[in-house]
Amino acid sequence: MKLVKPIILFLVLIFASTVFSQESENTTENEEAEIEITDQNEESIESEVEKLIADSEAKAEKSNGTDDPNSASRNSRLVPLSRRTGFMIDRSSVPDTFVALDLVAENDLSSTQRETSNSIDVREIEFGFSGYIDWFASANVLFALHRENHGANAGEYIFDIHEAFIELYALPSNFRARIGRMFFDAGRLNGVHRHDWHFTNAPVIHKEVFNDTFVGEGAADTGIELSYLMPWDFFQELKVGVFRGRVFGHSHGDGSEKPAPLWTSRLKQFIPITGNWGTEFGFTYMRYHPTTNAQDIDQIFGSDFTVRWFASRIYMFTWSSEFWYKYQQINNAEPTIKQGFYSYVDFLFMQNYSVGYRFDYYSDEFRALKLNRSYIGQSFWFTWRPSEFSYYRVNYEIKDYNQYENIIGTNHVIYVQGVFMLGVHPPHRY
Amino acid sequence: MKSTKQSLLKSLSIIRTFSISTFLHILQEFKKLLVYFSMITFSGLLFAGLPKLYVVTTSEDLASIARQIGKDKVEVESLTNGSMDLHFVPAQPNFIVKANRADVFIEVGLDLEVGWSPRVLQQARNTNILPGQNGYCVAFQGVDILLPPQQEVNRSMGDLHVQGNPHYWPDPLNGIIIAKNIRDTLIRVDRANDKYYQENYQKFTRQIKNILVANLKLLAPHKGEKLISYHQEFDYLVNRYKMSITDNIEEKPGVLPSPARIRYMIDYIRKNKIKVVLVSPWSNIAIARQIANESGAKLLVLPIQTGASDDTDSYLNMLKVTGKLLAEALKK
Repeated sequence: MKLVKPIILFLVLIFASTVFSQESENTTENEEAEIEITDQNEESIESEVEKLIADSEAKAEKSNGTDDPNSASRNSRLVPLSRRTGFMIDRSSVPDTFVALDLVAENDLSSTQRETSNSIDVREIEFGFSGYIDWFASANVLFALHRENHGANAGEYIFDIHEAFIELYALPSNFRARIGRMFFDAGRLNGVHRHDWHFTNAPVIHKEVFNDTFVGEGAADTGIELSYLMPWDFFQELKVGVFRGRVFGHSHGDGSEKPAPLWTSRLKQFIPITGNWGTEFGFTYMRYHPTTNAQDIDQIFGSDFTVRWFASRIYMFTWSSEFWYKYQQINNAEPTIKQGFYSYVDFLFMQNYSVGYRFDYYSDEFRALKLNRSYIGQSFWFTWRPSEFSYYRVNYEIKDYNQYENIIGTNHVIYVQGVFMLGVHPPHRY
Repeated sequence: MKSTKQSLLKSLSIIRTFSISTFLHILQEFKKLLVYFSMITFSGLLFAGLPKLYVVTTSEDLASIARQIGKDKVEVESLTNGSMDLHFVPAQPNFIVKANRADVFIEVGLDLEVGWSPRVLQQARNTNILPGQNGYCVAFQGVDILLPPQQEVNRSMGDLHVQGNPHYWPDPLNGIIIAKNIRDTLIRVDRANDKYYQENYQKFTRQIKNILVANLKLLAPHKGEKLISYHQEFDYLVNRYKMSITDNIEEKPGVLPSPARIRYMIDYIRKNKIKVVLVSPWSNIAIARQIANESGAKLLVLPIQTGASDDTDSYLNMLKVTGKLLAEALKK
């Protein structure tokens, strides 16, 4: 028993020395190996790179023509519908589909409560399809279900064909054409869908010029719009449109046959200031017959400009304005003149947030009735965009009436808006 | 009466004589002008050489590579500059003018430019550069694509690219594949110069090889190093140099990190002793800096696009600079 302790101690010592020795050997081996690897790297990196290049080229050649996700021939035509099943879908066989939901809560802060219904409503649902038809044409078909706020159908949802047109994109000599029903290119706002505006409601001048005081999203009609890209070094495009002209602006009726169609024209140009700065400005002229009498004519003149600066996706500044002048003569009486403008700025910061301000001015003169009316509006908004597919906005408006809509006085209204997109919406313009 | 008639006839005769002489004079002048114009045009053609292929790209990196392959046979222009986030570029109308005149259109693909490039192509009135045509080149063909999602993808996962990570060009090896795709496109459009493009491609490949060798040597001591990035745009680059990105500050691609995520990342970096946080110049540097400062890691703003900084004026220089900056950041 006396020997037990020394033996254990001896064994422990031997074990410890063995372990330390092994660790030391391992360390030495590792160090040597590391040195070897480093030396080897110094010498063989070139051949390694040669091999990498050769492998890469061989792989690219081998995978060419297969549906391998990393295939050389794979392009954006095939996309996986389900990774679990490995089922691939051919993008070209299905059009892009989308739904845009526009939800608005409104509260009239004045005691008269004359502005809004003080409730929350689905203002509009837009849905549709877009894609290439063939090598010569593409198509956009957009439907809308919108809520009427005023008039005979107030409170009801009306189904409407928003746009349904084909676009001939392969015409020769810098021409393009749209044929069908569309929001024609007139001014800045009319060609942009309401859910993509920087603010919640249309400026009054826009509603008045486009005869759309009920809904405020602009004017659409059925016809042809031909555009020509000028052969200069800068962007200049001339568009001329001819449309049915049976109705102008927001209407659910078919109107009546007019002596001549609605003519629209727009010349717009874009001047880049730097890579991140640019300005677009345009001029619009429209002419149509508001009645069946050939002598009764509406002529509309407009000009607009937009200045935009952006820095990555984090900051973007937009300043945009439209000026309109509408001259209407009916029954050879004294004309009615409507004129005004709006100007707004919107500043996106921190990627997801933006603030903005808009000033509206509108006045009209019914010379036959010796009546003058005017309106001044101011809007302030804050928008949060968690992604490019949705946003939440608070929009505060101060409305100063001077006989407009038979009101004198100031009103304050607050709107809370949410817009949500499903699917792939065709891109809006600059 | 008679004198009036005579004076009228005289006047008419003067006018006729004047008109004929003036017309002949103008004709003479026109002939001279025609000769001058022909001389100027001819000398202009001699001076400027034969017309070049006009190549339009969606990024400065592609433009730089196209210049290397096409050299004096091409005129190359990029629609964007090196400081822009290619995911989010407002489709400016002047892009349409450039695409309208292009003989070749080159894009990164993998849906990186999906928000703006298709609109430019559709509005360009130039069918020669539409996808599938000879003048269209998508540069990723043949690239070993990282991170194609392994499960069904929906938008709750952020801005995930359904076809995989599109930030492949910072890897020098992928630069060769891009150059190969550009070479093939230029040859399709301009077969007469196929040998010229092939020679330039081979020269470019040698240059890339030298840079890759130099960078691998430079970064060899940091093999196995783990890094953090703000957005998933450094994976190809870091993997090539045998390092890895273990996590991204963006919990979901393209989504601004929440305060809780920022806190988590600070703790994560401390716990895992991450040395370097990578961020691109167009990302949210302020958040990346806050995380780096609070966690004790080094913030490296890496210019992984040509033109993103003064010293990355070409694709090759961008590759050199990124390798050098990575090595310097990891050394400290």
